[in-house]
Amino acid sequence: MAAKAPDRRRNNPPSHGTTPPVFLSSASSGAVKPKQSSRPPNEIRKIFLRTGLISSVTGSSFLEIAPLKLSISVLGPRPLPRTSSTPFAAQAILTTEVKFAPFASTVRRGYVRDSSERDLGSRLYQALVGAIRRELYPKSRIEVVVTILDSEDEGDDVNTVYMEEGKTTVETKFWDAGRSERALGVVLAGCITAASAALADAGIEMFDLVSGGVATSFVDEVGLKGKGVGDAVSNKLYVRDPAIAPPEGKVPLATCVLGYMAARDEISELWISGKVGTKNGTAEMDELVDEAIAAARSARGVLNEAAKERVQFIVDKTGTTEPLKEESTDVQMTG
Amino acid sequence: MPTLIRQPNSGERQPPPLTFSTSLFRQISPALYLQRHLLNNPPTRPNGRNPSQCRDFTLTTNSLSHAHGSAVVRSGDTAVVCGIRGEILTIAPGDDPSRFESYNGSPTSAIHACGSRGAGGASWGGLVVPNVELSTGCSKKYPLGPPGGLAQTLSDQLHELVNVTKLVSLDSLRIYDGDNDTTSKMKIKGYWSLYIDVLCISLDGNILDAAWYAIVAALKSSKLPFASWNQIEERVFCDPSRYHPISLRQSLPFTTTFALVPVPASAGGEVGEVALLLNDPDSYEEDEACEILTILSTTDLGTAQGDFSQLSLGKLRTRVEKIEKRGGWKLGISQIEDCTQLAASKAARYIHTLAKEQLTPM
Repeated sequence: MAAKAPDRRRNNPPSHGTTPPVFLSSASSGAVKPKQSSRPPNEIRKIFLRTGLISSVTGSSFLEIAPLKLSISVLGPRPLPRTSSTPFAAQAILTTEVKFAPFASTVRRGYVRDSSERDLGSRLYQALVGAIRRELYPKSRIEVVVTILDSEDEGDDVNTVYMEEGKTTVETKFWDAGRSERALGVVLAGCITAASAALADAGIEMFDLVSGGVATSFVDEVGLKGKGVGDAVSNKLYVRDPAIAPPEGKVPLATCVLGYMAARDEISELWISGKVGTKNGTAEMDELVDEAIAAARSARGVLNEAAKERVQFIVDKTGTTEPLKEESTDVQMTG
Repeated sequence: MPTLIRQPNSGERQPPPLTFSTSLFRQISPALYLQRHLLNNPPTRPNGRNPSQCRDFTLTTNSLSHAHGSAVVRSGDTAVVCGIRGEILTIAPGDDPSRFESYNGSPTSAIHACGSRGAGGASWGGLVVPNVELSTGCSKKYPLGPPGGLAQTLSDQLHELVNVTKLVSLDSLRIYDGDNDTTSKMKIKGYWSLYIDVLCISLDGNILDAAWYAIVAALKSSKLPFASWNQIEERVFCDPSRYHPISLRQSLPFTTTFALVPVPASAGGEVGEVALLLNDPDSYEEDEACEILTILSTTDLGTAQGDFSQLSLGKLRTRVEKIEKRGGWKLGISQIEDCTQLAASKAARYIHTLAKEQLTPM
């Protein structure tokens, strides 16, 4: 890594620059492949979702899907600053920020948000903005801040070089780590689900909870190399909530991520990348989207449970215990 | 329960008293609200603790998959996540590693003055780089965006603490040439540089103690891959199957922070003001504090190492390494002595929790 201009607001590393560790593996021992998942392709991974863990903000949530861990806080609605330059806003202004922790991926991330983080932020904005009843909060601002503490990426695949006798080593592919559509798609789907939970925890009125879903279509490795993609349709495998490691002998074809409002059957954000054949009209795309919707529906179940749990917690807290004495008595102030 | 002292009715008609709810009182007059609580007998803080009581804390180590070491510390409503990642600093052919050795071996904190920020970036500087991130939506009060005053101060304080305490010994950070004799300094080909990032997830006061504890715990649980210089490729490679811990100093230092809150007191007919010490303040108390006292101390548990329940304060051997006091003049020597006692018991609890966490299999 080349030495960069020092950041005067932070402690800087030695100016000579440091490099991420590179592992050396002899070819005979073979690559350490990422773990293959044993779950069926139509099942999403277990989601842990809990809301209201941060007391100093309006709403918050914490989500965990296998290695992905993210914390979301919702600030506001709070009034816009009263300056002459602030334009009038009839509807609440929503801002979304997504930031990976420096230690969240195999390659250390910088402190300043990079393009992929900004991209995730704008997609999250699209997914949420339609669901919030922004007209109820004029002249105010709602901020959704996502901090990703841990994520799944290619791991050892990118920071290991293999050496054979008399052959040069293959260079590491650091800069692609965690940037693939599948890796970002899983993160975005998690962000959408957790952000809805946090917004609900904040008591912000919404039309419906948005849940995120992601699905990837895989084809046989030979199918892709053959004559055309169209031939491989019969071997197509749809995987909901895909892990980084592709199924045995398969290569990814296309990934679809969406934000889905189950009660209204509406898609608020759609992101398809990869090869989606057009030979059969939109059938291929429809299938992929349906798979992603199915994944989002499964996530919605968890979202509902989390919301219910939170309501139950509040009811229990205020229902069973006596209201605090000092809360009920007024204080007299003279003079 | 807060009650205001009513003035004696002096005959003339007084206006009807203004009444409002406690929660409103808390909002509009925090100083008075806090004082009324502390004037109770025994003094009780608004959060229900007594002045010398600290919050319960929990520690979880190595829960992150990509960090070389990590710790999550939750103390009351303050929660921090600390992740440590090692990166390799390769020494260029013309460089002299002894400059590094002297920097990190320097006995005083003088070197800190020309630290990594002031001089416009580290030249040959600390291999340990702590940074605190508060722009995570951890509190309503803290704005998003680049690190503000508090985050910069904290990063600097932690950097100084790492340097002053010589927490990390250089032994485990050196990278040597191949399988050669590891005692010769000439064979040093590089160093591990440790990036310590502390993310504040939830902020409710006393972030320094939580952050420092998270750093110590994360360092203690870290495992670095075994790295060596490869002569054929002329670069440093790591062995994916061998890991080694980071060697830390023998007795681990811990910080304990107190807030001083002025309370009116009448002694012998004279109305004055005394300062009350609050252990482990939350953000509401921090806002009203006139002084903040931080004690860095190490504690030797002695014979009671294994059994925390049999631990008594008298048996603890404590060494104060650093006292930092910000602002004010109200704090006396005797109070500082009391604080060191409290700091010792807190440090003992820290060590105990850390040892327990290390023992539990992951």
